[in-house]
Amino acid sequence: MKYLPRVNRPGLLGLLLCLASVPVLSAERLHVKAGESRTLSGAQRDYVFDELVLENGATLLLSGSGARWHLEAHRARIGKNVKIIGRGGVGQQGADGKSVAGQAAVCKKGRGGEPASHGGVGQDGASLVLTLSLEQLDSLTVDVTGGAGGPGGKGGHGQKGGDADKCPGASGGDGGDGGDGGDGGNGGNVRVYYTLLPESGLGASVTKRIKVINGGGPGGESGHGGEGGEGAGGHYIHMRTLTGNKKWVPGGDEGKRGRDGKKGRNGVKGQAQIDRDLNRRIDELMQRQHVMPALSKSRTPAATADLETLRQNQIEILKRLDALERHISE
Amino acid sequence: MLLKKSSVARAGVAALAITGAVVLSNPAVAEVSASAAVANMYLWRGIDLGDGSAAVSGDLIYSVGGAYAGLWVSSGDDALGNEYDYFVGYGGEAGDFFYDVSLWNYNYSDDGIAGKGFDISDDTTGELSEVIVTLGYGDFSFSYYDNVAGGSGYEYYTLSGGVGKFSATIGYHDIEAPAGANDDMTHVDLSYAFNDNLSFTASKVVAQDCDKDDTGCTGAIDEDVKFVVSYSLPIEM
Repeated sequence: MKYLPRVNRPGLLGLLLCLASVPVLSAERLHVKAGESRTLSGAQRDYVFDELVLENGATLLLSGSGARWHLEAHRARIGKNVKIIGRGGVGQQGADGKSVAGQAAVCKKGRGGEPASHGGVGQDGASLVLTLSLEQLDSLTVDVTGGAGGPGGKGGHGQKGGDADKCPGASGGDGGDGGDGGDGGNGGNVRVYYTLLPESGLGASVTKRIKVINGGGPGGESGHGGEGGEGAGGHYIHMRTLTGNKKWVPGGDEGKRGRDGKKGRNGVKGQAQIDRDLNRRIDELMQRQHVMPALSKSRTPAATADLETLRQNQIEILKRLDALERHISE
Repeated sequence: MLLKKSSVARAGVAALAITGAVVLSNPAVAEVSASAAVANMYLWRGIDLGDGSAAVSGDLIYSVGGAYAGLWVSSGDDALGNEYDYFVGYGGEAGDFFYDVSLWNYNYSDDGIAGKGFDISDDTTGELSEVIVTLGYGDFSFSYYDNVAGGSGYEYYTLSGGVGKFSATIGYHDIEAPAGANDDMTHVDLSYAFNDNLSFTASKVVAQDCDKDDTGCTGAIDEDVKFVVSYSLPIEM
């Protein structure tokens, strides 16, 4: 296979330079066989494939959460149920607060449980710009869902209050507060620009064959507050009173339960856009009309302005054409 | 032998107003506590010292590492007047076993006890003192009371047990009384703590040397059941 570092609209010279600079990745094509999966490393985030073949049930994994990917294929053949997955990582679970075991000293209030830590934030799904010249496309799912937020830790339990003696029984320690759930990661933004090769025969049904899943990750669940420590019980002690030599010494109250943490915020859904590759169409059109060479030779300021106006008009025409095609296909 | 209530209260026993004090073993953490209480009578070892009049008491205790010292003050003793007691002691425990030894000194601010049958010539502090030893296991305990100054010839024993908010005590007075006077008495107290503040106690003399109808015996104790209600209020320090 051959991975070419992607350069925005690379010219031939640029492509050659890139090929020269990444000799390890100089295979001509990326081919994932049916049912198999392949992981693209972080070093391959900006790549141009001469040929991309993803057979039925193949999966392409994008490593690293929240990264930006620019992948381009000069010729792409994509089978049925093919997936490109770049989900965000799940946030770490918050650590539980430490409970205080045992019982406090006589007459002393129990020590409070430690508060828990908050859940980690879910990582964003990958943002992907996919530029494909399609020879075949059956069905493709791009899943760049945001990672779920980590759940908050549980608060530690409070210590039992110290026994009554000459003093009343002590109250139990308060429970530690639960940790907040981590926020869910945002869904990745996905832009797919496609060009239909003449042999594809796909027509305008491409958008129906590409499914983008880029919801935000759910917020992490809140951690529960720790239980308050048990209060020391009341009991009789030997002590002079007006009623004899027994004195009832009251017990202590149960410690307060720690507050529950807050649920994490859900991640925001990413944006999805599937469009014809207008830039490429313009390039092709201009090349067919041989406009560029003629203008480049006699480029005056006026001619340059005319060229830009012409280019803008063409873009507008192509946008409308593209919208019309989509309307017809729907 | 007959022991009149007055002689119990004054002669020997009365001044021995007591109590055991049990301290569970505790780390060396200083603690000061106090409480105040009111009751419809001053019930002392099965005897109503106030002839039915109400009483008010309060205590202030400093404790550290099992040792303690304090002051107990009360009204309600019709015969001797207002009472204030100093005490020191030490208690500990080993598993369910516990022990306590304390020294109590009894004082009366109004009428005093000199010349009232306690072998005391004046009313200075320390003239009437008692040592209390308590040994216990779980919810049960045995206490022994003996005078170390004044009021010689008197000892008192209790056996106590409790379940939850219920408590029972059997107390026995052993008095070296002259012929014709009441020289021992046994009473039973049953207590119930309705809540942390309100307690009820029923007390009855179940045996005494004097027959209650024997007018020739001095110091006989009223054998009617005595009902006591008290309200105690711990005071935050």
